[in-house]
Amino acid sequence: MKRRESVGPVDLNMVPVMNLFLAMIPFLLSCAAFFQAAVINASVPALSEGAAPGDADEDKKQLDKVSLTLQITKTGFVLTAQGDQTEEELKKWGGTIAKKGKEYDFEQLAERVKKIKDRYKKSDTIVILPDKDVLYNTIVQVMDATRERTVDPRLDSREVLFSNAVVSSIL
Amino acid sequence: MAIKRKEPEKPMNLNLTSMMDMFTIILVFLVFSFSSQDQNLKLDTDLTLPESTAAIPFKWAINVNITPTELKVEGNQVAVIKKGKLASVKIDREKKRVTPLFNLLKKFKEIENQEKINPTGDETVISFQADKNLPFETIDLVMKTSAQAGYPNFRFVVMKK
Repeated sequence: MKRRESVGPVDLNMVPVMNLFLAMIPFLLSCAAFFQAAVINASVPALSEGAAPGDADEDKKQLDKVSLTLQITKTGFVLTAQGDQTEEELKKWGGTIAKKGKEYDFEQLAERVKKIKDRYKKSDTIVILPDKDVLYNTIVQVMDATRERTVDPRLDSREVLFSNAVVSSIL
Repeated sequence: MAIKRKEPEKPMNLNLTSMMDMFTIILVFLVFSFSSQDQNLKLDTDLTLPESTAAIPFKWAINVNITPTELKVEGNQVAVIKKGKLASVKIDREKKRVTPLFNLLKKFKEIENQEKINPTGDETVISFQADKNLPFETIDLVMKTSAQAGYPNFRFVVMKK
């Protein structure tokens, strides 16, 4: 009886796999995006045919909603609130947030806006009025501070604050 | 003296395993970072976008770019920018608009009204890519012009932090 020959280790032919990899890597490299673009929704003020604020009937007043106006000046932020509430009530939410040295105090702005949102939960509109010399970067940072707040950075959970940003100039 | 006879040379087998490992790792990384980002986004090389925490992905829109040197609509130069301000372009100060930009966007609006060119079917907005160091004066003028031409809504394109 013929003795069976022992089978040695078989060498896999890796050349086709290597060819495939070499073709795929340049393709993927050319398509790879090494930055991620995102967008922030914004608008400019539009003419309204509705009633002016303050003209609302007593029973139609929206007491759980305010709209904010934020001026960005050379010295800092000037925040004012508008709504159907009493003047005294609205006045306490407004005020000035001065610059921290040469930098704008975005943290304090975010805190103030969060407090207003907690009190008036249906609020969503903020009108941003920058001075003509304010940089675009500052406007974007203001929008970041007022639009949402990161609740848990690990889970990337965010709380929406004033999502409707209107950008205009001071007349 | 006995002469040792030279053995015939065997073809050498290259060990490709480590190279395969490396390629596999690179391939997996590239596949994961492969972006399905909208190809409509055209970034200028001299443009530095501001960074933001915004998470809304980029969508189809009319591209208006303001670089430190020029104002462009869909890649076509409309005006020159010098020291952050619009230069050598007709500006209607009374109506607060850049005349060539207004005329161009007005044409876009007319075409849009005649033919459905927006693939998303939503209201067309302006994808606004501006350099982070530009003053608001210039940005405001472009935004007001766009609004007067029928595009009051914008998407500020930013770099994700």
